[in-house]
Amino acid sequence: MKILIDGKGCECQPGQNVLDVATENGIDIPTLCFNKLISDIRPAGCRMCIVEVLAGGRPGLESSCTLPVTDGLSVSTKSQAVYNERRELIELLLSEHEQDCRNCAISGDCNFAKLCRDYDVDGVPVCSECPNQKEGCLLSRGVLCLGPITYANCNAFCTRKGDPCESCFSVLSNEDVLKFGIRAFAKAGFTKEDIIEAAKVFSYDRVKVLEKLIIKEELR
Amino acid sequence: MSIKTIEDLDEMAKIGMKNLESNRPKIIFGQATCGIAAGANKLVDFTKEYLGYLQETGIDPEIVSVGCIGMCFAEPIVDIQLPGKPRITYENVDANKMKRIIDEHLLNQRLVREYAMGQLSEELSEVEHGRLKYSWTYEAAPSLKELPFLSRQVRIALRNCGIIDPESIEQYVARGGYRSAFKALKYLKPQGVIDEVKGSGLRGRGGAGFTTGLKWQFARNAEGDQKYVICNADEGDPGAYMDRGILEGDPHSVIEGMLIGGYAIGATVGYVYIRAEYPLAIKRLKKAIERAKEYNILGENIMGSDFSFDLKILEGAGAFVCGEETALIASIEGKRGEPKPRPPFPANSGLFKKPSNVNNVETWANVPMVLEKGARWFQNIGTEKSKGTKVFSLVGKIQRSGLVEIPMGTKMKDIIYDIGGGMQKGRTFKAVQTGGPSGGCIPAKHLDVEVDYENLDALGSIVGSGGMVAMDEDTCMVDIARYFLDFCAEESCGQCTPCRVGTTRMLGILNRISQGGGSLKDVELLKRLSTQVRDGSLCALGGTSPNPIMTTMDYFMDEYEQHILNKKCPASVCAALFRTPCQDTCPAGTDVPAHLQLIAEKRFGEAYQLQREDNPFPAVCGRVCDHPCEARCQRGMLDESVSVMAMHRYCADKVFEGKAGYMPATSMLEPTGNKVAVVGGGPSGLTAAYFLKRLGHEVTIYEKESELGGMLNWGIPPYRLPRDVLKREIQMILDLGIDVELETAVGKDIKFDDLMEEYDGIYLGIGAQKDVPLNLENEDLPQVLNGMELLRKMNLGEEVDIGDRLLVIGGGNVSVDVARTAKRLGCKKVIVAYRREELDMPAYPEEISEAKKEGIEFYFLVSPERIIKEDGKATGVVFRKMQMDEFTRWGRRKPVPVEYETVTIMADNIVTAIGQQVEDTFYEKSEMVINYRHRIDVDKYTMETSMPKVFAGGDAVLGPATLIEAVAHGKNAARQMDIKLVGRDTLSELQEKTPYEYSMEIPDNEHKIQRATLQTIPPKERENNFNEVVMCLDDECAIRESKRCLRCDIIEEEDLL
Repeated sequence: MKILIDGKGCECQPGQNVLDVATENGIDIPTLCFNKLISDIRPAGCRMCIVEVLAGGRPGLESSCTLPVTDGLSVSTKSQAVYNERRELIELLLSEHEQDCRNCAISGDCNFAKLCRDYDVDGVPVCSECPNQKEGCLLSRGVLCLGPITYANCNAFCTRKGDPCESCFSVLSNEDVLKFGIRAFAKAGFTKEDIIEAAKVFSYDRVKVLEKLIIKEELR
Repeated sequence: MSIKTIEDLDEMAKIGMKNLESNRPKIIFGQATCGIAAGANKLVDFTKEYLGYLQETGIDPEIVSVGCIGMCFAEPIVDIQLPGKPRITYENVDANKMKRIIDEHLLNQRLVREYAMGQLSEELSEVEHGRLKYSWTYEAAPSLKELPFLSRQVRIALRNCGIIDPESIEQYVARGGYRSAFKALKYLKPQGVIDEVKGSGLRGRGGAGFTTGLKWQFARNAEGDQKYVICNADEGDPGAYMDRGILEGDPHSVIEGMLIGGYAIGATVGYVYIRAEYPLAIKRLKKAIERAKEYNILGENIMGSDFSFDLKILEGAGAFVCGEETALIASIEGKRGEPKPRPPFPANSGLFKKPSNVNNVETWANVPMVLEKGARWFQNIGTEKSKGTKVFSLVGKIQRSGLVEIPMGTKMKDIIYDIGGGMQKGRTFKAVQTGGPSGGCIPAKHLDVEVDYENLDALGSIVGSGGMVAMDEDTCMVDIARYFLDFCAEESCGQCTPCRVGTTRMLGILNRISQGGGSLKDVELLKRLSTQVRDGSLCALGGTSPNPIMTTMDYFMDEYEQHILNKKCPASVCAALFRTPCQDTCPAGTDVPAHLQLIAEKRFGEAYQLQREDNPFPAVCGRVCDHPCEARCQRGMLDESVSVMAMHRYCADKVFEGKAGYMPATSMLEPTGNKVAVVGGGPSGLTAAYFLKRLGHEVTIYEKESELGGMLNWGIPPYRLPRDVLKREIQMILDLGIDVELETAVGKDIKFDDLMEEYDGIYLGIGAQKDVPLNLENEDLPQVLNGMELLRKMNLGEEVDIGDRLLVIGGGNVSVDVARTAKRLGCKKVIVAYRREELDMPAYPEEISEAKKEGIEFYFLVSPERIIKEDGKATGVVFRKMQMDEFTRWGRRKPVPVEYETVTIMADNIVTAIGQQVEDTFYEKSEMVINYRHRIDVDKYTMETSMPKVFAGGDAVLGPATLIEAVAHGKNAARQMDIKLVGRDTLSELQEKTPYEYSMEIPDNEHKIQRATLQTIPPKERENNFNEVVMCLDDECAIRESKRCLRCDIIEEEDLL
């Protein structure tokens, strides 16, 4: 049997669910409540794995972990409806989440934080919550602080103490904000290498994007 | 005894019929939960005791208990049945009535006409067997079938409710019960049963409306060694109780339905999942199961066939979500009641992972009738896609609440008005909420909708399990949305994110709005959250939970805006947004409780000045206000509302008599140096000038007439508003130091552009004085007069020739005023013709009733069609008869012409008074936006026109409005202009300047005290003069009236906690 995921034909067995087929075929569908170790229990509660059924079933959003494969099924994992719904879900979860990532044991290896970044939830740079106004911005004093390009919500613990931001919350995904940050670095006299080196520590996955943008902005 | 053949059933039916029509007289009590709540049990005790005293009379009636017949508004209901005669239904019976009923009806065979609703002389329902028929009927009582509540009903699911004793299986059999089951087991194959049900088009009555036959087919086709049928009796919607009614009134119908269903799909075990809050239903169902087992209707080899079926009852613990079938199944299995994702559907893997079929109580109750009378019969009832009937529980602020079973496709307005009898206390219908927390609100403009699954879905609501909550103008739609969402947030099982967090967040936003902290961004956020929660939720509870929000936002957005922008709850419900309902309702915001308290303390000067803080016309308002405050007075719930308007007048008259006592000066703010112009010296202009002056601005009023007062001066006849009272209050305003330019028409005597240059702000209170034309031929004849123009001439004392017969066309205050004035001027016959009904007349009801006393004739439901011209003179009008028809989008019925029916009214003169529009045209050259109704377009909240620094209000914006609305516009415009000029809201500073202290003790609020009635001078003394008709209250009466105020403004400390 074959089903279409994002237009790609995927081989599958009857009885399988869409999420399993997608994983086998290397298509990423985010999940929070699904656990590979106890994969027979599927509460479909987090709803993060929703996909849009395009054909071969009841049209609309369905949780892929419980959606059995049927002949002629075609789903999209990336449609605008799916993106909007997932983004809303993340926002809702974030609204009841204690955002104390600095004191969290899995900080840095957190699926949820990654989802927040992927779906651009709360994409505000650290500068927006930097209270270090007395002595002025660290950048203006010649210290490389990654505040302008880093996700906020950490309460800007480091900058408050006068230390530069090391981007523990990863580099933002919103390119407009990034461009603004890159210009600020350029003004303060930092080079491409400086920025990339600093960003590599916590946000290795974003370095490529950053590099591209820096080249675009013609920063040497 | 066990039933084996059809003869056995016949035998049983005979016994049952004998029971139903016994030779002993019977007293029948409606003892469902609704009847018991209304006091039926106590009534039974009383009756037994009373009958004990009557033993020697030899009367020995049987006391029978039946279920609910659906007329919950009339509970407790008692039926009396004498042998061979139909039952007489008595409504709202209490011990005294009961005594009389027993004495007269039971002992003397004479029915008590006053208490009797009707007689059960014809069959109410669709049953085939055991139909009630009587050759002898009472003459004095109508048949129940003729009552508006029952006449439109088609009773299938409710066929036996209120008729038979629910605990008697014989009576059920007598009404054709268990015949369908017998037929199915003996003569039909399971597939045949399914085909019949499929063919009937019966759809699930629990809410979603899935085709029942198809569902059964899935369960039948599924492979499994054991299958189950389940009855969903977990009825949790607020305001819905159809399932309870059926289970309490006719439990056997559900058992029979499940038996047939079990046979069709091959299930040998059935479960009834019923909520534990229905103890009576559980008791009756248990009893019914026991009785059925006795007769081998349940158990092994049922009725001689080889089919076995067992029925079990499971009590739910009251979780709303357990009404969802997968959650219900989990609950029966002993797990947490949480929904599971579908697929797999219960038909394939349901209870204990076996194929199962879940149907609602009402669906099961329908099944035996489908089999008995056939699919074709069932198909003929209802609409194309929704077949059969649906039971609705009609509740809310409606006259006749109860259970109604109507064919699908019945119009909503028929349900609300014909069956339900309209709103209580003659209030205006606002919306009807269907489908419980998962449903939506349907506004008045959609009252014409034909109720079925598809149509309600298209309106954003659902049929749901059948709750129907009617709401009137006193219902706040934001609060309704908040209430239902609160319910959903509470009942969410918490499994999936959108429902668990989403409903809580939406509730937070709604709470914020209802507490006055909302912003327009919240509306956007709510909309977005609603769609995402709807699309993303796991089960229908979450998926439908935003429906109340989405529909109220669709249909009642202005109420959300009022809450957000104006910080006002139009229905006076959201407690954080107002102090007292009366103050909130008064457009000008008069502090009524304080005013009344000061009068009670006989501090008239202070009471008068306190009212003038918000309204410069206390004495005028005491005479001609339409007092919306009184309609919402909380005293009205205890006995009658406080006569606030009469108190305004009493206080003002005391002040004018010189008995004011201490009178604080009118507070003023320091001069600001700004100059403002007020165009138009009517009530709204004068009010604006009054407040602007007090706020420290230099004010000049431009009036084109020679006197100030506008409509108050020449629109209201002196017998309603004596001129000295008006002049005095206008003078008090001018005494603050306001410049007046009389006989200066802006646009003619002075250019509008000059005003724009000279002043820092301009308020246009130019009114609407031009009569709206009828647009009929011959309207320009001299005998056809304009209402406004005539009234003005009459009020200014000019000579008018109106002849002996005057015909006034229109139903507003102007037409009634013209009529009453004409009568006073000696006109012999005055006729008012209006195209709607009396209730719809915009004129004040008091005025209409006074007019009738003075001998003015009214014709309703006539619309002018042609003006008769004879010898170059207009001599009469041909009217087309009208009838009230469909609801328009404003929620008002529209009159439509009746064909071939006209009325001709002859008259010497004809007056047209069908409305007014703005006359002045000076601004038409400027960039002012004038809307299609010839009124000035302003921002609803800031009163700004499309031109900078120009504000407008009163009739020029609203069209013909009330005095208090004009005052409110003037006040609000002054506040908004001040904010523009000074940069902050100084009006509240101004109003706090004079302190008023008065008693804050809660008065006696337990005893009923009659409302003071206003005395009028007798109609004879009114002829040929313009003396004031309404007299002032006397001192004793007035002080007592002022003390009737319940003082809603006092907040007890425990309320705050």
